[in-house]
Amino acid sequence: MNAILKYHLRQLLNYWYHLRFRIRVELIILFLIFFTFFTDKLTRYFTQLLAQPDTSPIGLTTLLLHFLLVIIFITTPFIYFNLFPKQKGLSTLSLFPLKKSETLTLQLVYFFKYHVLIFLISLPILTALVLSAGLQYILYIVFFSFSSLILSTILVLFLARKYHLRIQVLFRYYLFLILYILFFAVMYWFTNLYFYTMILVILAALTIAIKVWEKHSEDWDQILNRYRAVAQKSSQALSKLTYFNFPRLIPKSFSPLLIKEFLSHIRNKNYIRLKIFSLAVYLSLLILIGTFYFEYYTSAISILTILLIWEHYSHQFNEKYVLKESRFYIRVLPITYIQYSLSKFLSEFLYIIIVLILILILTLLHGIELIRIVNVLGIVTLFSVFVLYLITMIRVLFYDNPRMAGYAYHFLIIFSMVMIFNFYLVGPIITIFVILYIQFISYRQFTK
Amino acid sequence: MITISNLTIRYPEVVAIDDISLELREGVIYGLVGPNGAGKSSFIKSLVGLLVEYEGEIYFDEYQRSQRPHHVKSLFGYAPEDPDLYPYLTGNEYLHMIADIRQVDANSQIIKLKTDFGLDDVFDDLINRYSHGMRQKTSFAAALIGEPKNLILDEALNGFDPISQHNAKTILQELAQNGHTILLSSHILELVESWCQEIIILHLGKIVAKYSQDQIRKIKEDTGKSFNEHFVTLIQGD
Repeated sequence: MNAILKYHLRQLLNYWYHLRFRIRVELIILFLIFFTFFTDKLTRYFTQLLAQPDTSPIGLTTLLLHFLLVIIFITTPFIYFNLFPKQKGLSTLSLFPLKKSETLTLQLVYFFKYHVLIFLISLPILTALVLSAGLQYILYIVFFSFSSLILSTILVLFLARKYHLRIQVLFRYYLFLILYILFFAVMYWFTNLYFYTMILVILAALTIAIKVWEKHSEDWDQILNRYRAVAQKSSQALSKLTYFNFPRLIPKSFSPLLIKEFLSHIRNKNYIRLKIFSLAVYLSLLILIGTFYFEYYTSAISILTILLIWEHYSHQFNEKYVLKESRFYIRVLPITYIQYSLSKFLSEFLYIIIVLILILILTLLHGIELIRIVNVLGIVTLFSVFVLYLITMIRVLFYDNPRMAGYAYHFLIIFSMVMIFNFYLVGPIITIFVILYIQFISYRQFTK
Repeated sequence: MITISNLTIRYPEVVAIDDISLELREGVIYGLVGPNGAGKSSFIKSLVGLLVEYEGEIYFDEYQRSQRPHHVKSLFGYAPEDPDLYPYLTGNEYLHMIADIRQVDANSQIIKLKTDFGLDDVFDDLINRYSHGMRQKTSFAAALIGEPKNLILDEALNGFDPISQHNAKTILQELAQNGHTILLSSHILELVESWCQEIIILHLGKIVAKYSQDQIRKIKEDTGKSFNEHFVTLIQGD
C-alpha cells in the first residue's frame, strides 16, 4: 500500500482507538439513532413523493444528486484553503520531495477525510432512496459524487498552482461552477437523456482533468508550502480598546473574566470577520425573503435566525475563532463556575442583541403587526439563550477538547429538536432532564 | 505549608506516585529533582489541581485540597513548564487580569516584576508575539502576583536569561525569608543545589532521598563526589 495512504488511514484508526470505549459506544449508538430516525422519515416521504404521478425516481435522484454536488463543490475550496493547511501531517510531509502520485494521494486523502462527514450525513438520504426507488439510483449518485469530488479537487489544485492569490483562484473556480451548473440545468430539461449524457460528460471531464494533472504536477511541493505558510499566518490585529480602558460596569471580581473574553474576541481577526460575514449574509437573506416571500415572512425570519444561530455558534468549537481554554485558567486560578459561565455567555450575547435589533428594524419596516414581531423576537431570544447556555455548559465540560465539544453541541441541539417536535410532552421533559444532567456533570467537572 | 499524606497516583499501566508522604514547611525553598518519568510532573499536577484522580490527601495550610478546592486555589501560585497564556492579551494586561482575579492590588509589584524579568520592551505587545523565554517569564511573574503563601514552580525557569534567573533567585529567597513555602522542580541539578535549602529526589514514583544543604555538603566531603555525580550513582544504583 502507498506509504502516505497507510500513514493517513493509520491516523484515522488511531483517532478512533484513542477515544474511550464509552465514547465509541456512544458515538455508534448516536449514529444508529439518527440513521434510523432520518431514514425512516425520509423513506416515508420519498415513497409518498414517488406515489404522485408527476414525480419519477430519476427526477428525485437528480434532485438529491444536485444537493450533494452543491455541497461538494462549495466545500472543496473551503477544505483546501481553511482546513487542509492545518494538518500537521501535511507540514511534516511537505518537508520531503514528493512524487506526483504521492502528492495526489496526499491531497485526495485529506479531501476524502473531510468528506466522510458529508457521506455520513447523506447516508440516511441515500438509504431512503434505495428503499423507496431502487438500488440502481444510488449507483448513479455514488458515481457522480465521487467523480465530482475528484474533479473539484483537481480544479482547485490546478488553479492554486497557476494563481497565487486566493481571490483569483476562487473567482475562476466559482465561474467554472456556475458554467457547470448552467450546462446541467439545460440538460435537465431532457430528463430521459440526462444521466447518459452526464455520464459521458463526467468521464470526459475526468480524463481531461487527470491528463492536465499529469502534465502540470511538477511543482506541487511549492503549493504545499504555500498552504503551510497560510496556516502559520497569525493575526496581527490589536484593538485600541485595552484591558485598562474597558468600561467597568460590573463587580471587580467578575470583570477581568468578561474583559478577557471580549478582548480575545475583538482582537481575533478571524472571529470579527466571521461575525461580520454571517451578519451580512443573514441581512441579505432577510431582505431577499422579505422582497419575494412576504406571506410567511415572520416564520421565515424565525427559521432562518434559528439556523443562523445554530450554525454560527458551531464556530465556538473551532480554535480559529475561539481559543481553547487553558487548563491552568480553570484548575489553578480561583474562579467560580458562575463567574466563568457568565463571562462566556455575556461576551457572546452582544451578537444576539445585534440580530434582534436587525429583526426589529426589518419587521417594523415591513409594517408587520406588533404582536407577531414580539412573537418572533421571543422565539429567537429563547432559542439564542438556549444555544448560548448549551455552549457555555459544553465548553466547560470539554474545555480542552474542542472537537468533542462541537460533537456534543450538535448532538444536543438535534436531540432537543427531535425530542421536542416528535414526542410532544415526553420529549421536552426528557430534554430538560438530559440538559440538567449535563449541567450537573459540567459543574462537577469544573469544581472537582 | 503544604502537607502531603499517602499520595498515590495511578495511570492505567503504571503507578506514577507510590504512597508519598511529605511536609513542606514555611520559609524553605524545596527542590524536586528526578530523572525523566520519575513522577515529578504528576506530583506537581496533583498539588495544583491539574490532576484530580489520586489517592491520599493534600493540605495547603489546614485546608484539604479535595474538600476546599476553590479556597485552596487562592493559597498558592503556580508556574508550569509550558505556560498556556492568552495570546490576545498583552503581558501587562495578563498580569493585571491575574491580579484582579486574585483580588489583589499589584500595580507596583507588576512594575517591579516587569523590570526584574526584562519585559519592559514587550510588555504592551500581544502575548502571541512573545518568544518562549518571554512567555515563561510572564507565567513566572503571574505566579508571584499577590505573593501567595505557597509557590509551586514546575521547570518554570527554562528559557530564563542569566539576569532574569539571578533576579528570580533573589525574589524567591526574599519570599522564603518572609515565611513562604516554595517548591521548585527542575532538571538542572546545579540550580536546585544552589537555590534550595532542601532537595527531594524522586525516582519511580518514590522519594529515594531527601537532603538538607548540610547533608549535601557532608556527602561531598565524605565521597569526594559532586552532587551531580552522587545523584547519578543514586539513580543508577537502583
